[in-house]
Amino acid sequence: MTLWMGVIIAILISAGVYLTLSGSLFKVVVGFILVGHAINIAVFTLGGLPSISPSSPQLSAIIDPSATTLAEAAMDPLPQALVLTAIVIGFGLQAFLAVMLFVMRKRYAVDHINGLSEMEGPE
Amino acid sequence: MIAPSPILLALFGAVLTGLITGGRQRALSILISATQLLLAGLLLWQTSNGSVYIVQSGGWQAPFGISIVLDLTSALFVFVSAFLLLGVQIFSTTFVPKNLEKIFHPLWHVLSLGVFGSFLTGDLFNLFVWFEVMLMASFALSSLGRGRAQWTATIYSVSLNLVGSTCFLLGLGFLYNSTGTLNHAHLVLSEGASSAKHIAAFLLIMAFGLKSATFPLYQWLPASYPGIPIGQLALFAGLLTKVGIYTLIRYFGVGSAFNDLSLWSPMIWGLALPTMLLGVLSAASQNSMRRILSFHIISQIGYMLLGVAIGGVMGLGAAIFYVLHHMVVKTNLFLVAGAIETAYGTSDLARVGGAKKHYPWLALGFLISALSLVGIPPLSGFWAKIFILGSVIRAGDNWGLIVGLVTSFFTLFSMIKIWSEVFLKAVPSKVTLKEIPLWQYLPIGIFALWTLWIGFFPTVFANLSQQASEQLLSSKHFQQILAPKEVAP
Repeated sequence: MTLWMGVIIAILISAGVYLTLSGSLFKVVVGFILVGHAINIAVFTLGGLPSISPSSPQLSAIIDPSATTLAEAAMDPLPQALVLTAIVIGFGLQAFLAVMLFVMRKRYAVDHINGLSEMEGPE
Repeated sequence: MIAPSPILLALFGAVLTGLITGGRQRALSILISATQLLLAGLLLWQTSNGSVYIVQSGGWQAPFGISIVLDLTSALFVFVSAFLLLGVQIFSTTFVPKNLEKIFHPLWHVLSLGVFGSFLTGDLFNLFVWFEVMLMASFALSSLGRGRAQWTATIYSVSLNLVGSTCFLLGLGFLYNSTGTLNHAHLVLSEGASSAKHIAAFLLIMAFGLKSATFPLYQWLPASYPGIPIGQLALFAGLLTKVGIYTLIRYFGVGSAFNDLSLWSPMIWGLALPTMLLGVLSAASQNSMRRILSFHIISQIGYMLLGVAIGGVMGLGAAIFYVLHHMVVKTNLFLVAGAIETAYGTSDLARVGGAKKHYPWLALGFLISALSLVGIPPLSGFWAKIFILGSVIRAGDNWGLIVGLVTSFFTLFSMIKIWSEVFLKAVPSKVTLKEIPLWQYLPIGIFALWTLWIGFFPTVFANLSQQASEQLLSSKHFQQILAPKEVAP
């Protein structure tokens, strides 16, 4: 499963970096969203994945009241909490970028990351 | 509740100033910043005897809960930041457009919230969160206004900082994977290096390096800073990159934090020298006050990094002293540039001149700060450079010494360039001079006096920074954070 996660992260990061470097502001925003997701999945994976398959009967959502330790299939909850926080923060930043994109298109009719600095004329 | 009090006050300020408008809002906002400075002074006085204030959030003990730690290093940084925030805010009220002032003041306090949070947190993931709070406020502040240059600037700084945050988050993932903790004190006390920990260190150095504008990753700073409105710019120049340096001192200072990662100290050293040299050489070829000063931020970052790379009580103490001196001096130089822009409408070197004759007090303020930046005795910059280069000599690092001295020389060159173009040269024709308001003179004067004071009485801050670096390097300090009750004070 870790291997598959690695493949997914690699695909997301390469797509994201490609879009980010393409120059069009819209693609830059989408690229950052993809890279952000890739990093979230990476942190999630680095926190350790459960070692058994999902169909295993051990993977119960409810903890046995008599148990004193976590079941073998239990995951460390901290990375999930970290990823949750990171998703929220990332969403805020992406929203800010999207608003900037919207304003630049509307006010200056520009959709290139260097477009504003290359424009001639007064402010 | 002593440790998180600056954070709480900033939060309080952000909410309260958002509720009212007009002159009352401005007065309240400045009052809160002044209270913040008083509080920071009190905290510094409280911690100067070596005591540490710790709050474990939610009552959870250190490695599990998030700890807020107020030690001498954070108290020093909080104090100088509060000083800058107040001074620049007073300066800014003279030119922030009236229709934007409503949002300007709450954002200002959100920015200080993020900065104080970054200084006070004892947990690396929490540091990431505070960084984002600070960055978000800084993006919003730098996009306030309608100029095209400003939007370009904001787009560049948002995208590059997003890359930095991405590295930071991935680094935290690797760090957690290798050590199972993100609490700073717990990290320091736990042993063992692994490949995942090395990857984490690399990613974190990259993230902090990007935020503090070090060698291969500094291009975003000159691309974006000159476009930002001058008040915000003065604060960002003095404060934001220094938060990056603060994290490098605290988490990567050689001999502290990542004890077993001595592998990375040559890398920090290798980043420091080109940062100094390239920054100052690029500055020499610029032709506007804003652009020259922006490149100088980078070269000065190099000195601080050199202190971090030399490490030990001497090196880290020197780096802390250097940051404290530099924050005030750099901000003041940008404030002078702002006053020049108020007077002439531009800071383009070709279109200004004669400021020494028309604004003699401004010239004096510039001279004190500029000579301090270069390191002319007896100003604060002289002592800062003496401490850094002293630790460099003691470590037997000849290259560091040579590059440090050469950089100093070129800094002098750029400052003379500004002096002769802006202050000495005759006033260009077709320029109508405007009056500089008293509220712009006031912070410049106070910052200049502060520079003089540190220059003539350096022992106070030198002792405090030395003490702070001793505290950062003692494992007892971290044991105290981890288990406050078990370690006798």
